[in-house]
Amino acid sequence: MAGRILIVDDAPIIRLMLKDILVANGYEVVGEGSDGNEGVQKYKELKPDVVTMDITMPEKDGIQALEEILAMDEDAKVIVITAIDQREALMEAIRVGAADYIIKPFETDRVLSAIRKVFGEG
Amino acid sequence: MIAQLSVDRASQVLSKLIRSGARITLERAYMTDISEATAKINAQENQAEVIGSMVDMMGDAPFKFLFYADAPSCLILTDLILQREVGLTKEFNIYVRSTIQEIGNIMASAVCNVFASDFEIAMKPTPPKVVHDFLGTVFQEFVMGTAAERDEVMIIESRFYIVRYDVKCTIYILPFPGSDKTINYICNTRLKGE
Repeated sequence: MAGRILIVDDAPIIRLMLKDILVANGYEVVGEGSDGNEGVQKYKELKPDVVTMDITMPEKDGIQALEEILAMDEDAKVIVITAIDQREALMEAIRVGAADYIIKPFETDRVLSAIRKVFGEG
Repeated sequence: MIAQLSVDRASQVLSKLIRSGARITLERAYMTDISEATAKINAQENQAEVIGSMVDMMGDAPFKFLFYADAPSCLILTDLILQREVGLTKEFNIYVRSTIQEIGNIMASAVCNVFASDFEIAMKPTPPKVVHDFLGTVFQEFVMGTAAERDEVMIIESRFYIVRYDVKCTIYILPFPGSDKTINYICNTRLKGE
């Protein structure tokens, strides 16, 4: 069975890029969210295997959403995505419990290696 | 030096993002009268419709960042980012808007990273604002808030050319009042300390 992935990012272009990469490599994108609130809500509804979560988003940021998802499900696997400069936010996400991270601009190989690592495939 | 490092890094990030070489065709930092600069842009290029991404970088030495390209170039940039055949995106849509927003966000973040790692100037970008208008109007909005407090400002301007697709794009970096002095002070102190 293909891994079921939820993509949470406020940028439609990043959601589309990630979806193209994941679907082309046999994963199922079960849902998308455009802010942290939607991410948490969709996690409850869809119970994905993995979440890709942008850190900087309006309404509720990725770190707050990560905390809420882990409070609901301590086994949740969340890969955080951030732009190049946000080292402090990245360290905070890892401290909170992110499974891995991807830095923008990203390469297809880096996305797949993070996903495979979290699925225990790599 | 700070301008050169920032622009070099922004160029590398742009090339990586669109998976195509972006050549720097202009790179300069200069003091200018903001009213004159705006009038010059209005006079020369006011027919060009552009899509831009504005980011406020807040922190030790706040500045404003603007990335823009003309509308047809933005359609090409969208195809390049999505690794699709160039020409597939034919009209302005949410993906074009989002492409320009993300390019602005990632390039501004790269500049912040140079400030932080090379000069120990801590800064954080605010969410980018996308603007779609004539260049003169976009530039006027960009300088608003800095021009009100002084006439003469320091501007870092850089142009990029993506040769393979004949795409031209531009960035402007404009320190908020006082930031240019802070940057100079920090850089001088740091350089003298080395």
